[in-house]
Amino acid sequence: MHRHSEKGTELPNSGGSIALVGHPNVGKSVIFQHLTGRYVTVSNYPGTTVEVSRGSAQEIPETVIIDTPGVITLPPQSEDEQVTEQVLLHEPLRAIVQVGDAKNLRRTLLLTVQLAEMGVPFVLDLNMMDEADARGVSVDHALLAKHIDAAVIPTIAVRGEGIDALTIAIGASRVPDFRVRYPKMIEEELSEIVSRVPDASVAPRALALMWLCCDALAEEWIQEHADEATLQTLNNSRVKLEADLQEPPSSVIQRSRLEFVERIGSLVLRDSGEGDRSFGARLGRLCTHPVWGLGILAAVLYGLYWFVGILGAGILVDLLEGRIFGEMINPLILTWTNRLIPVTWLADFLVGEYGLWTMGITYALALILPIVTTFFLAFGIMEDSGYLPRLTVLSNRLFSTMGLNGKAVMPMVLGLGCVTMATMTTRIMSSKRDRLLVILLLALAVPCSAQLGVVMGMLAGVSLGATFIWGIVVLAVLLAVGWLAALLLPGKRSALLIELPPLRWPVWSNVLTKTLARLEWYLKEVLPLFLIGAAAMFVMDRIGLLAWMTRGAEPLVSGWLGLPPEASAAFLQGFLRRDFGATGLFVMESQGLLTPLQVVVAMVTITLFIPCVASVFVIAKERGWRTSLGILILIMPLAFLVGGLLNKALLMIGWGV
Amino acid sequence: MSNRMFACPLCGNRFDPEKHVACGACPVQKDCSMVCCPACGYSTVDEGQSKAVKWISSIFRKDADREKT
Repeated sequence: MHRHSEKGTELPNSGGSIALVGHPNVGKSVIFQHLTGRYVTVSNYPGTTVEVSRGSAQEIPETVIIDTPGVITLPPQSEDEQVTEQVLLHEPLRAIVQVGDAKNLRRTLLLTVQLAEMGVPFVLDLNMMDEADARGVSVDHALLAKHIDAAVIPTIAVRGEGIDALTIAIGASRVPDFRVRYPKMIEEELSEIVSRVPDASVAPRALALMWLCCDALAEEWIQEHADEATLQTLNNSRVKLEADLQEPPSSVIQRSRLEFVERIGSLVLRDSGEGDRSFGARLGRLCTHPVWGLGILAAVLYGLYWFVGILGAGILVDLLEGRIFGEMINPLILTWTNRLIPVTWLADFLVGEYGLWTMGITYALALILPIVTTFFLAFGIMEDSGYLPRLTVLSNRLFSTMGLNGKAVMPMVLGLGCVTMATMTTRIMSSKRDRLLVILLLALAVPCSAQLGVVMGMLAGVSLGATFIWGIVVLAVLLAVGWLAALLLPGKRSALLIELPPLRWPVWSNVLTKTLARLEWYLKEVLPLFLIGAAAMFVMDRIGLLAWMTRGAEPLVSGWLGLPPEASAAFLQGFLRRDFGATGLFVMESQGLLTPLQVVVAMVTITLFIPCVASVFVIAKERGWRTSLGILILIMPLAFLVGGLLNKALLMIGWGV
Repeated sequence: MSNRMFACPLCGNRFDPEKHVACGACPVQKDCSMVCCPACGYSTVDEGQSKAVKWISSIFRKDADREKT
């Protein structure tokens, strides 16, 4: 039976269990097969549906090897990961062998620092060395072993290379004399907790760290083994620490680990210079270069402009809306509706100016669909080719020089999610005021790249200059949002590890599959809203409310924004959803009712609206109706303010009149 | 329990989308069709859940089976 040991202690050469731990898909099972041979048992871990394999170690007598389920990090986030942690906490372990992916060293080391602190003899097996070599990734194993005070063994498990050295290392393994230095407040609290936690199979410090990170399994174990007074003290410690840090201790601990990993990674990783010199690899490196990367980004944006704007919003929309719907389908439907439905208002409801078919369905299928299809195709290409993570790395470098964290902003800008994810990230903030302000800022500028793509595509159908001006304004707002949010967020934001896959030609089946799935999602979101919007516009028009609102909004829409009064209808649509309003403006532009300047001003204003009415409900669900309406009341005037200022500025320079 | 691992297209983090790891803190929770990366927050659509994709895949599978026979 193993108990945690003092640092540097070697354990007897046989007996107990050895746990193979690591991320999914790193070759743990192949290593397991090499170490155990033919006779293994596979069974559900007690009380779970998760299968765990056990086998006798071939070269180490009376020792069982356990192949644990893949774990990304601890505390566990899934049942599989819980089982891995249960093995670590409850099994009589004589050693932990982490199997890591050599080409993703930083991600591997993030788990290493947690396992090496457990007070159990430890070995790091860096597997898939062939793939690392192919990528030009070279690791100084000796230096890494020195930093983590544990054996680091390179292997290529699929070829059986390095297994002998691994077996020897496991037999000679010992408890590493290793710890991550956490901030002073955390270290002081750890010293207190370490003296109070019951004896466990892992080191007291490891258990204390799990407690501070609110690890549920560790909490459960401590609750079973500690008395009431101790539990109370431990709880008070954690609450006090969180109050002193003004953020959860788990965030600080994670950040310290990430910083450690970054530091070690930069010391032990080498560019061999003999690595991958293929065109793809060189282009991949250029994509994140501070100068060349910007040039490549400009080319990508131009490609996006051409593909989504010229092809999607121009050629395809002309074909669908102009020819197919405009000359074939809609006239037919109009004729038959008027024939079959003698009730005028009902016919109008279906095929009139604000008809369910003529507005709702036509907008969605003839106008939005071609633009969003080309946008999703382009996005799918960027994802599948491996360019998207490089864009994030490049933007992080740019934003960091301005005091922003691109890694925090880019997932929200590029993601399809609405303000829900943005709202989620505010949960870690302790101050109500800060949470509110960040939600407000994020709702103003950021989410739903699909809607932004549609607006961009429509503008691109107008001119490159219009797209450029819109892009500059939206980017400026985004930077202001990011800067203000960074100012308000307490403490430093945790770093984000990004895995850069090789740059490659996209696999077209992947791109088409993603595009199809996204189109299904988008149409499911858009169609009901467009139909509801059309119905609402019809009713407002019928009862005279639309005309009244148009007259009432004239000082704002015509006087301030410089738009024709009819644009009010598009803005009303925009309240429901940005791209609905943008479509209305696009139709006006195609009918020659808007100048290029007016299109840009209107599109910028609409872009700064709340993304859609659903996000109002989401904020209400998260923060309450008062907050939600308050945000609406603040964002809308701000959108009109920016639009009006842009109008004045463009008039002054005489652009687009 | 799903055996499917989803790789985030932005940060490369691998996770099981059906375990909804990132959803616990989200106001919409599991009712949306999004898959959100628990590491970076990137939101996208899970093509494994798409009815359109399943339907098209089943057509191609039937064609492939027909060719084999």
